[in-house]
Amino acid sequence: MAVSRQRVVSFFRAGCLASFPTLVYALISPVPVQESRYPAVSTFFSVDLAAQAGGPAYKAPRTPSGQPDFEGIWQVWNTAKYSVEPHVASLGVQAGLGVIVDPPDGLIPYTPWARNHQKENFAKSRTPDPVKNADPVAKCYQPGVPRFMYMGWPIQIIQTGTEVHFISEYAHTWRIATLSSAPRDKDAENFLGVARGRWEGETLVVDTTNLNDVGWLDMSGNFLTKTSHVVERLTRTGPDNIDYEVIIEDPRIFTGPWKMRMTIERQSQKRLLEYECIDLLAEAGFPPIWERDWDQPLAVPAR
Amino acid sequence: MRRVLPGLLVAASAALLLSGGLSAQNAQPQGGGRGGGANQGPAGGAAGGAPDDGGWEQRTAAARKKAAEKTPIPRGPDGHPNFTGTFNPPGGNVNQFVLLEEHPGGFGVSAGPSLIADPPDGKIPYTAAALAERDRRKRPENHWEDNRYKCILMGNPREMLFGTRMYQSPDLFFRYGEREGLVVTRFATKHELSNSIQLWMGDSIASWDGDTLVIDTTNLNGKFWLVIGGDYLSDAAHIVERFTFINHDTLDWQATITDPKTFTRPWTMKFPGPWVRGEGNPAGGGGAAFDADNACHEGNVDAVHYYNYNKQVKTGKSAGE
Repeated sequence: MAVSRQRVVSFFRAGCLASFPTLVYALISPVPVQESRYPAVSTFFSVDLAAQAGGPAYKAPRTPSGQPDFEGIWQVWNTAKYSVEPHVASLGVQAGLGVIVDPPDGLIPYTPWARNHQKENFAKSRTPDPVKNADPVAKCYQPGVPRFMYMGWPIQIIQTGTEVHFISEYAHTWRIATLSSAPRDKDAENFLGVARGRWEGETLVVDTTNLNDVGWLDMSGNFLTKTSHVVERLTRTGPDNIDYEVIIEDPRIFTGPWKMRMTIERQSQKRLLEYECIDLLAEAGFPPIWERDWDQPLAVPAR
Repeated sequence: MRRVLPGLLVAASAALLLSGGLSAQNAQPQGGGRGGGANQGPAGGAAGGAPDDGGWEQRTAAARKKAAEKTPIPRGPDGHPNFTGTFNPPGGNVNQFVLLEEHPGGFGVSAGPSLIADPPDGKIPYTAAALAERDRRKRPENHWEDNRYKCILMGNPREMLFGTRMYQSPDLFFRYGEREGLVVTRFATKHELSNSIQLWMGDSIASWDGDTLVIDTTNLNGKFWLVIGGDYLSDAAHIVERFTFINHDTLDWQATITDPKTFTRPWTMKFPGPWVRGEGNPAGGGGAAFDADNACHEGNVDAVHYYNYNKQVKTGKSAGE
């Protein structure tokens, strides 16, 4: 179920959207600021799949360089692209239970400022005019990480032995997880961050830093910043499925690390097609001639 | 036959190199959607401006010297040549980027010989109508139409006119130059894509012809330009590329284009260039992590300038009037 542009525009046009944030957010009391209740993300435990499933974990075939083989065309089919949190339907948008497994209430553990900023993002992304829509994907910008993975377009994974490439059909965007511990330029701020990958048995662990203040997590204004740290764990659980787990931390906007989990499914097509977003925008009457609008860093208050 | 061929290729290619078949230009890609700004001037013949040589003569001389060495071509474990590495047309890409035919220099662009190997006169055999269209596109006020300035996929085979990283496995040949040139090619014997699907990068399949990798591309959408100077093809185009190692460090690349809607006959462009083994960041010398961001479209301030110039010429008014 690729998200057609028609549908995306419908979503942006949906006027009755006051219902969903009001309904959900009315139930939340402010999260008290506290010391991180989790250990550092790098030591955060990952789910022992074999123990959970009650049987031996799936052992994937190997690539010529001996790594678990993730190559092929994959796609996520859920409602995370609309919102990673639980949400009711709106016009053109399917309701969803959310994909957050920790904290248990399924909500992103924002600081109060950040939750407010998310609501502002939401309000500013209801327009079908891409130039005015605050969602970077409405302007065909790169989607950020991890949104890249679950925004709904097919992704091709290619393993070269020293790198794992993720190529999205969306706007020919593409990320590389370099399989080394080569140092990263601490000043770099990239739309898709800088990723380093490593293998832990059957699991590919991708560690991404160096994101920027522009990327969102979904169409509902959930967002990350340049200090966000994203750790993804991909594990094949069978011939056609990847278990995909994401832990995100950002001490500036979250009160602690939090985790999403979903399945990435193998597609039967042998190749990607194209969604040349910029050209489609131009054909729809929005030639990409707006001025640069992402120079200003987010004014995140100190905690 | 196989043993004789590499020798012939070395000789033929050395002749080509010495005759100036290598475009000897500035290493810096000029223009594109990254705010290159002032260098994206009118193609060929503009008044004023000494060419910026940027060391291209030395690089080309070095490349020619290397190409004459007798070194064995790189092979993979399956015995086929293995192209995993980076192809860097020497001295940069300004010539190819601007025009494929011979052209004088001007406004930051170096003069260059033709890259057309066939027909022998070095001119693309456009039909009369297509030539008029090419010359229309060559006009600076029409450069706004060039897909690359808008950070749209480059089309095939334009991405080969830049430094291009390549990865080859038994199943795939993956080219990832500037990211607008991203294309994944399967090893296959026939095209399987419906004619009703037309793509910027087309549908490409790879096969072997001895030690030459052949990439056959159809299903192009004909919406892209081949170079800044307006060279183009239509959605009826059929491209056959041939990748052949000259020696361990030099790759010969050529493309034959057949397009009855645009050209009176098939034509071939080619240029050999240095090739460096290994993956990752070519600037770091194969193996270094490639961490660069491709924020081409995000903040593409050039697009608005080209658009405004186009409007200005068409309406006779300056921007803001």
